[in-house]
Amino acid sequence: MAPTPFRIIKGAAAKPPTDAEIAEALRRGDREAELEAWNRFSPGASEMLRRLLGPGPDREDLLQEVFLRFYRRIGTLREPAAVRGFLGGICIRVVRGEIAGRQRRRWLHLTPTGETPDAPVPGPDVEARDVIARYYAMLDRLSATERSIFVARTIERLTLSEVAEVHGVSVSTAQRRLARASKRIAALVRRDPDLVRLAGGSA
Amino acid sequence: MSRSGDNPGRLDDEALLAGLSEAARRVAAADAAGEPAPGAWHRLEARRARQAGPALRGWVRRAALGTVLCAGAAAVVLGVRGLRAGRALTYDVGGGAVAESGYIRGVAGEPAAVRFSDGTQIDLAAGARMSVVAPGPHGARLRVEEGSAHFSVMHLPHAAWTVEAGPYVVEVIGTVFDVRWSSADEVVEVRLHQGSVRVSGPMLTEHATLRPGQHLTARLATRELRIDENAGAAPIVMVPPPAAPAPAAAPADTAAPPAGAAAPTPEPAAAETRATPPTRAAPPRASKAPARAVALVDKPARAVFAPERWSARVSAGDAAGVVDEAVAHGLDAVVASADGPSLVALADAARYSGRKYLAERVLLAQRTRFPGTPAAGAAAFFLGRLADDRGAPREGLDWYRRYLDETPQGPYAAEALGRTMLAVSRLAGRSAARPMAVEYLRRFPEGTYLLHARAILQGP
Repeated sequence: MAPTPFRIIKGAAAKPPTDAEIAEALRRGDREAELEAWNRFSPGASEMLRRLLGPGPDREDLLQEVFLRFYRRIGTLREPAAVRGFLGGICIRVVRGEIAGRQRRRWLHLTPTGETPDAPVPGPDVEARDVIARYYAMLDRLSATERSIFVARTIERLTLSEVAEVHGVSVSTAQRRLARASKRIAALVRRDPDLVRLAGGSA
Repeated sequence: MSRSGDNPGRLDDEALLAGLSEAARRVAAADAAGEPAPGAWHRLEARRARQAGPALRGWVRRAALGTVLCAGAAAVVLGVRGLRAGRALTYDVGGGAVAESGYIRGVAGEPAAVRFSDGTQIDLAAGARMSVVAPGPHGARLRVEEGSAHFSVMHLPHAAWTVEAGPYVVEVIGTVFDVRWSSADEVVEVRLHQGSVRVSGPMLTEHATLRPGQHLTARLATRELRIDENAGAAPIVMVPPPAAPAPAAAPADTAAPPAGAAAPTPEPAAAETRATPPTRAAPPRASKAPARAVALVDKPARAVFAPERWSARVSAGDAAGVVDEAVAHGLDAVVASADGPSLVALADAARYSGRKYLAERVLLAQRTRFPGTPAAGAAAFFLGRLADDRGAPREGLDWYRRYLDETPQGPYAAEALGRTMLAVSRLAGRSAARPMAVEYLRRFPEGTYLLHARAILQGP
């Protein structure tokens, strides 16, 4: 087999392509663009996964899953300039699947929390992280879809129509589920003085 | 932020959740590492390749079944070509310029950093130059053209990296080390910080495996090779070679650091190297660090260059001598100019003496320079075996296929078909390998892969 030539992905003279150009190249099936897409979008996707999942170790497996789906489905992207939103939708769906799996494992008593055992990663603000971890634990008491809708709207700050589109439901359904989830989470949060304080209110 | 009316300090639900969500965003941003872990892209690629496997296996299986019904011959072709080869690592260069050929140098002689997609990083010192010679999905063959380079190689499954420095080859799995090559002085230095590397080249009858802290110095001009113990973690500094018999007690603080390098700390190994007498007659200098001389060869370098005698010398068992002669003459020149029989002899010598990467280089040259010859065909087979040996079965399979396509009745046809059969069985399942087993039994009913072929045909 003839050696595959190395490809320069960055260099002093390289002019970076736009998001839309990368997306268009991916849609054409240009494999050269895959690495460029990874370099461009993976940091943001990684951070978004953190926001969706809450404090914990890096989940490279989920990031891989996101990009596997991204490469597989890029042909369905209608507007290349919206590639980041497209990738964000995939992140949300991957995490929803992860949460549903976690809930199944918990139900099956495979692990006490439903989470797969991972080493915790200490961060710079341990106290805030602990409190936020409790917040995410409360979110995990919602169904996978309600949790996903709630997180997409409140933490990811998607519009209601975007939330509805990502989850494949109507706007009114998304709004109804969001309201139900918000009411339940707010009630849980009020029982935790640390969370109320972190939110900026008095317990 | 809105407050509820009956308690001014109490947030309403929306404000409460908004505040927490904002805090969650802050925590996520603080935790984010900025970019995925080193090697993440490489692992993603590996996962994609694995996922591609089952679908291809199904395709191969169907193709194989069809070809069995059609007398089996075409399956050998179809069953193999669908297998997806691993993609080569990619890299970027910071602070340097790179040519399409993979030749890298710092801009205006400044340091440059080369980062590969598996997380491996190479820092070129000021003025250093390096080439990416051959790519691979799990590593690369690199050549330090001139100067010092610091290597941090990721330890990943199947990692296969080699670094050529002059006539020396450093084989790496996952480790941190420095390499310096000065073509003008004909000096090679390898300093190992972590892990393990294996060095081969002139004056080493076998591979030398370095441990952390060891520092290998080879001076081709004076036929001197030594390994210093406990050489410390300081980077290799440029040490002027002994143009004449060196003074026995050269001051240790005269070593000139490279431009732009950090201020050097006194370096025991460098001092040792500089003070090493070039001949046995000179008195040894008292060591600060324990040194182990692996070889101190005081005879002059071999001046003769007689490739027409290589074949006879290889037959007489002097494979290592042939390789030494070729690298001393300059491997690039030999590969570019030697005639066909000499290249065949050199490839054999490299294989027999365990210089596998050098052998691959010579075999590839055989195929490029003398296409269509029996030697080029045989080179395909040997390249397949070498690929197999370094854990690249798909690449090996491709070479065997080429060999069988080019020389179906060649002297290695039985071996190539047998290895093809086993590789397909391993990679795509027994059913995909059945056409090859049928073909093998038909053509080589008493071949060495007879039992394997039968087992494949009798298996589920």
